[in-house]
Amino acid sequence: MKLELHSADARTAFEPGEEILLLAAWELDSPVDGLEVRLIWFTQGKGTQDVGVAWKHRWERPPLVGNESVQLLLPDGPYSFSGSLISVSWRLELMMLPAEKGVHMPITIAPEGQEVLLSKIE
Amino acid sequence: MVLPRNNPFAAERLDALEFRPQGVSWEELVARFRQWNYRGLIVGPEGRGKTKLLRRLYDWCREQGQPAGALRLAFAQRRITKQQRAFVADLPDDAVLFVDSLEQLDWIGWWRLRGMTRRLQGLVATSHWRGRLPVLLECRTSLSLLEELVAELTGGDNHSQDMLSQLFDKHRGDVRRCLRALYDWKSVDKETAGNC
Repeated sequence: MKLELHSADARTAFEPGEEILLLAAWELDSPVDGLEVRLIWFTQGKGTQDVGVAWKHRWERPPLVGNESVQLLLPDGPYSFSGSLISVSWRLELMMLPAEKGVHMPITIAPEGQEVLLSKIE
Repeated sequence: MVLPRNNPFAAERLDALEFRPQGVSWEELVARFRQWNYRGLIVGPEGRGKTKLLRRLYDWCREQGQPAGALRLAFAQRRITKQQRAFVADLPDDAVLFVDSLEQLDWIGWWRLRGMTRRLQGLVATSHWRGRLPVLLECRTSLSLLEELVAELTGGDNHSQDMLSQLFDKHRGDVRRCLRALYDWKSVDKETAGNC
């Protein structure tokens, strides 16, 4: 089995609100109900983890071997950032359904593609 | 400074830790659970792994094909809510109900829950105190358990035994608090790090 997901220009850091082209390719061992690309935000750090799906696109009953592309308009925020208590991060996923197994790719969404680092408040 | 997403003591990494039964094997625990018809109490003070064990048993039931439902009682919640009553009423008779923080219910709340769950296959709960159900396991912690968890989280990073021992004593065996204190310790500059 092989699943691949990347942006057309192979970047992993983007500007907020940028439109990007995603390329997905797969070789499956057995048929699946669908393949879903998702843009996920999530927190990491001291508190309970929060996770949200910001966008998703599904290909129903895909062939065992295939490739597709899809256009994604990235959200304006929140920016990828880290403070002392939490980081807010983004990732792209390509998941087989219904098994929810797949691959994911961490990305940065922030001005100039640089994660915002919040310094300690004095 | 270690960023939250790189902190080995971040919450999602703590959540991913496996429950480690102390003084009993997982197989013995599950055998007891079956023998007691899926009824029992997981007891212990805070930070001893009760909720982690409850979730592990819940997952185990589901893996066995056993219907199961879970309720989490909020702090100072003395009675089951209307939604929670409806949830329990919808469970099939062969389901096992898992209740986190049973100690929150007052006597009437417990009496009602017991009545509602009599028809179910099983009832397992966590509590800070004994009573209401037979004790399936009393969760305990130890300094060696803390050392083991820290080693797993950090990949064997250097934490002196003295430091962990002091933490363990300061937080009176509450391993969750110890690990949260280590999060803070990791997240600040070494020179400004105070006592955990």
